[in-house]
Amino acid sequence: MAVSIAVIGKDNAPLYMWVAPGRDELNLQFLSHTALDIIQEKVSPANRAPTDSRELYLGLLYASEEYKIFGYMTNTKIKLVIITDASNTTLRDNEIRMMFRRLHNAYTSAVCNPFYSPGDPLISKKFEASVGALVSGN
Amino acid sequence: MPIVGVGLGDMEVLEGSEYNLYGIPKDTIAQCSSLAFVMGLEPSNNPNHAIIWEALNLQSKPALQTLINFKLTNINDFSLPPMKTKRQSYEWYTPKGVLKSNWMAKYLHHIPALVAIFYTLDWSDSNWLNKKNELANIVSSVKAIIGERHCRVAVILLQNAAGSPATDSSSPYAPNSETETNASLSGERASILCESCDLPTKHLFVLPLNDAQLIPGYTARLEAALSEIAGGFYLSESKTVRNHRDFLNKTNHQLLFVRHCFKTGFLLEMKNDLQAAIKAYQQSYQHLSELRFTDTNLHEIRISSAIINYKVCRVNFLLNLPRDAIAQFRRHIDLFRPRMGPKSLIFEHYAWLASQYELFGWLFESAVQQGLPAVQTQHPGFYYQQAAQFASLRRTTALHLCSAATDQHNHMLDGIDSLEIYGQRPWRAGKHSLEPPEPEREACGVEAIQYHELTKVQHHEMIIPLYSRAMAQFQRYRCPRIKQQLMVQMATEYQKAKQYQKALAVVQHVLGQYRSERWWALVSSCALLALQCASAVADVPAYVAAALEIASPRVTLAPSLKIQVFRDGLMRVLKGEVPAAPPASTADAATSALAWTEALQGSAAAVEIDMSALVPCVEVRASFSSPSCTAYCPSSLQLHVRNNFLELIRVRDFTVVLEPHANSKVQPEHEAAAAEKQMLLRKESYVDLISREVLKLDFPFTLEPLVSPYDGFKIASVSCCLDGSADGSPWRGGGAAVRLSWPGAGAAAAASSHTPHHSEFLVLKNPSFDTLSPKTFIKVEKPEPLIDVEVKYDKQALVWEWLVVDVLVTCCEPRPLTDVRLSLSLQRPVQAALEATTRVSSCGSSSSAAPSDSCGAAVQNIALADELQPGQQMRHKLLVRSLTAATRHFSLVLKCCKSVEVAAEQWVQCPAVHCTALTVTAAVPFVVELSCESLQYPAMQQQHLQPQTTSAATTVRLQQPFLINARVSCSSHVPVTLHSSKLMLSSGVESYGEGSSSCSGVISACSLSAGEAASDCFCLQVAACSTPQLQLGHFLLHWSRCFLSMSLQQVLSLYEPSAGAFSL
Repeated sequence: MAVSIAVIGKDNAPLYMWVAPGRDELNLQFLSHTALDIIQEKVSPANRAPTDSRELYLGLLYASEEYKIFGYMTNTKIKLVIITDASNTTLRDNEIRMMFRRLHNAYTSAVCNPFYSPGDPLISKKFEASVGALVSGN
Repeated sequence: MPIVGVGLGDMEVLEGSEYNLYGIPKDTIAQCSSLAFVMGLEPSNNPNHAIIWEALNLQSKPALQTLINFKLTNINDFSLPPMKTKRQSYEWYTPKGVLKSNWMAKYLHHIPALVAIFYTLDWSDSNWLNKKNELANIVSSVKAIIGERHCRVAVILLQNAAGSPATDSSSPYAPNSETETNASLSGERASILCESCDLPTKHLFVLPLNDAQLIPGYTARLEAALSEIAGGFYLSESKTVRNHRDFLNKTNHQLLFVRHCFKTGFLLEMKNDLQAAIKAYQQSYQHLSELRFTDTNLHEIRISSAIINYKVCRVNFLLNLPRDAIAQFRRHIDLFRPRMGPKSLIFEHYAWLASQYELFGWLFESAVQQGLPAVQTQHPGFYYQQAAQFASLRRTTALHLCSAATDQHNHMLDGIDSLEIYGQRPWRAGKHSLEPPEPEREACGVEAIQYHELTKVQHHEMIIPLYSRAMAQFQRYRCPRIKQQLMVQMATEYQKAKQYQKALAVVQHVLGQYRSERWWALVSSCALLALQCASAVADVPAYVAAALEIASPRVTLAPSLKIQVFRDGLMRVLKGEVPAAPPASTADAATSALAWTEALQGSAAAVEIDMSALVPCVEVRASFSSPSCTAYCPSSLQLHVRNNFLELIRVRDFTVVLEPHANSKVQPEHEAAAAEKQMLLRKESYVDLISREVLKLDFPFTLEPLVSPYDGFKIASVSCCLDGSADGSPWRGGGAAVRLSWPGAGAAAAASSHTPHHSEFLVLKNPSFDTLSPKTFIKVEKPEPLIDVEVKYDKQALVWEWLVVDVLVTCCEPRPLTDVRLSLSLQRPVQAALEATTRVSSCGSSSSAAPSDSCGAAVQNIALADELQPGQQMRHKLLVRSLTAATRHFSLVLKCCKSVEVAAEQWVQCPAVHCTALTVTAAVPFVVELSCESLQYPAMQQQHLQPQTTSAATTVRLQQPFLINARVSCSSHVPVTLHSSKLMLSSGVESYGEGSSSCSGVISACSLSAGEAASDCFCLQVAACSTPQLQLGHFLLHWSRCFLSMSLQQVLSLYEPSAGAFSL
């Protein structure tokens, strides 16, 4: 399953970061940050095909020796990044897409909280629980 | 676009002086092109030879398809490596290893495909026979040296002009370059020559020298023909190698399958037959991957596979098949990555992987330079990055494993750079076995390698250039953030290499970018790195900045660490002591202590830290108490200071700098003046900033008036000094003086503060520091003088009249006012239509006569008095004329200089301003109707004349008297007096009976109230007229308000309409 999940705001500041226990958290943060380069390039109007303008899932952004990095961007320019092990070949593209959908839903519920101010880091037990369920595969 | 192999060959980066144990040999990387020896040319003595030689070498560089590597030699130096005896059977032969290290060099440098003999000989040479024999001798001795080898020989005759003009330059081949007359001679002699030299006719060429311009063209063709001959050689060689296969069996000769396929591929590559070459190389790789690997032979197989893989990838790139190249590389890595080899030499595995990635990255980059398009997610940068990471892993593992290695077995590595087989261990050279033959010897060899790794290899010299190459690539393919990550890794590498200054410069650059995107975890790790580097080299500003950054709550480091850095680091620097080394610092404590002592002694000047550039641990918000203030009146500025750190921070000497500010653009000459006008507000005392609390400081000040264009002050910066005496004892001096400064009012750092993005959400925040919106600008108003201004005027003015505005100024100040000036102008914003129809004049300026109409819509700065004593009164009259019926607003401005007490018994003159608003509504006072009648009073035609309307025409006859009736009906709210009336006649019109050109009316000194009317009558005749229509003249009416005081009676208003046009 995923080793890291990041929610990144529209101004590219991280809102939420989950890293699987026992992983190199700093390195995964660096990777999530670098994923923004490719997201930015993928969603730039020049590169985007007009047909997939409603597709939020951006697919595999890039793969290093250890990790695969997948991206997703909501219509409000919130970027979701999921990192998996490069050796994990059991995860299909469709499953990743589903994970992003669920993550997006969880995010949407979290920001509906009237006491949450957009752009602030997400501190929400419910969101935390959703992410926990997501990464444990339930 | 096909990619061709120019440039894909000379790889400077790998040619280190140190023999690279894990790279691939130079011969693999060298450009593969047919080798030809050139004999008989003396470029240094003979200019023609020099031209030919230059042309030959030039051809082989840019020309894409014909690749011949020419080597100059002569008959005396010419030699070939000795030939081994041909093996008839491989049955009892066991190969020593996979690839022999001398084989490629042999074909690249020593065994030519072709020996090209240049010889000067004309067909019609007088000494033909001797020369022919000499040439035949040369050829036969060359052939003798070649012996059993299949090297080709070609003869090129250099012919001078006379006998053989090169009429046909299409081919350098002899018979074609002959004229018909000489054809028989040359043909005959050519065949004789071939016969005596034992040459095929196709190996004889003629190169005419008569025109130096044409030589490059001839040599190009010559080279093409020679390359064909050379190709034949390589083809036959490769066939020979391939034929060996028939003697091999799969059990004993697996290694030879690999070797022979590789040789075939190499020879075909020399022939420039890339399609065939790649097949052979791929086959070779396939055979290799089928070999059995053990820890013992792994290294040899790794190196051999690296060589073959490099060849496959390179030829794929040359054939413009980048996807195949990448796929091959992936297969290669996937095959070998799990095979890590013995634990004690694991660093070799990483070294080898790093080298694979670097080589592939380099191949990829060269292909891109040749025009291959690369994309953001697939470009050479990724391979360099991976290479750097593996190189870094190599170092980590090497340091871990090799620390105990000693130099006692160094001799085991003797001859490592001259092994017969690539990749074998020097202590068991020539033995390709699956198990180590002598375990003890093996252990010694391993230790020797470990010792070599530990002492001879400068890891950072490999890693840092890899990072910088990767960065260049990522920069090129628009990946700024990946580049930032690489910069952090590079900084870490510099730190490990103890190049702290460079590390600091790199990491500081990245820090700013992470801060701006608010990735606090990344900021934290970089800040810690910066602190370690700054501490190692005693860079005081960088150290203090990093320590302050770490103190910030945003930085996600452990609180204990933050407190440790603050107490044992920053505070000690402030006290002038050497700070404790930061956690996980690798620097040598003694050296850095020495550097600190030096730095702290030398730092007399304060270190200034721009807090807005950091993630703040202390935040400030400065705000004026009101948006405007009066000059010389006390006002104040509030400074809110918040300490976000976990502990108390003691500061002193809070300073706020105010600078003049103009709303409009400032001329450069004023800027210098503004700098002088800067104001400093200081509080020198100590202030304790309690953790997580907001402290409010009040700075009272009084401002001096400003000169235009400046209209106020803004907060330029806020600063304070960090104080090291947190224990309560006063600061004794010594140590670094650290001044924290916030440009602007501290709001500039808001990006990194807690202020929410959307102001709607401010309600969720505590209504304190975060929501404070500072007033950073204060407008300086001029003080109002204590004066009483009484203005008397009729608010209901009459159109055309000069309305009297009577101003009475009484001074109520305790001290005299000086330089009192009065201005009256329309209130801003001024409408152009009103401005054009308003006239203002001062009565004092021309009191004797009515003011002329040329004056404008305002009077400015009329000097009332040089000095106005307390209690003194001053009267002044102003005149205002409205030319249309409308309401006008005026402002009456009284400027003066008043004395202001700035301190006890200290008085300064200060400009002061008093404003009064006036409103004037103008109405039309009367209407004049003019009518024209015959003497018998029947109305000819009557019409009303509104002021300023043109009169309609009425018909009168020449020389016939007629009457003009003027009726003035009054509509004014006050009675008006009509003083006199007059008709000014045009030429051709005269007063009947008098013949004069003007006639006075009967109205005089007649007062009218609203609703009353007065009439006037004139008798006129038209004496002569040239035009059918004519303007009769003007009716003038002198009038004024009734009961005007005497002094103003001359001020008569004039009503002057045209008296009507008459047609005849």
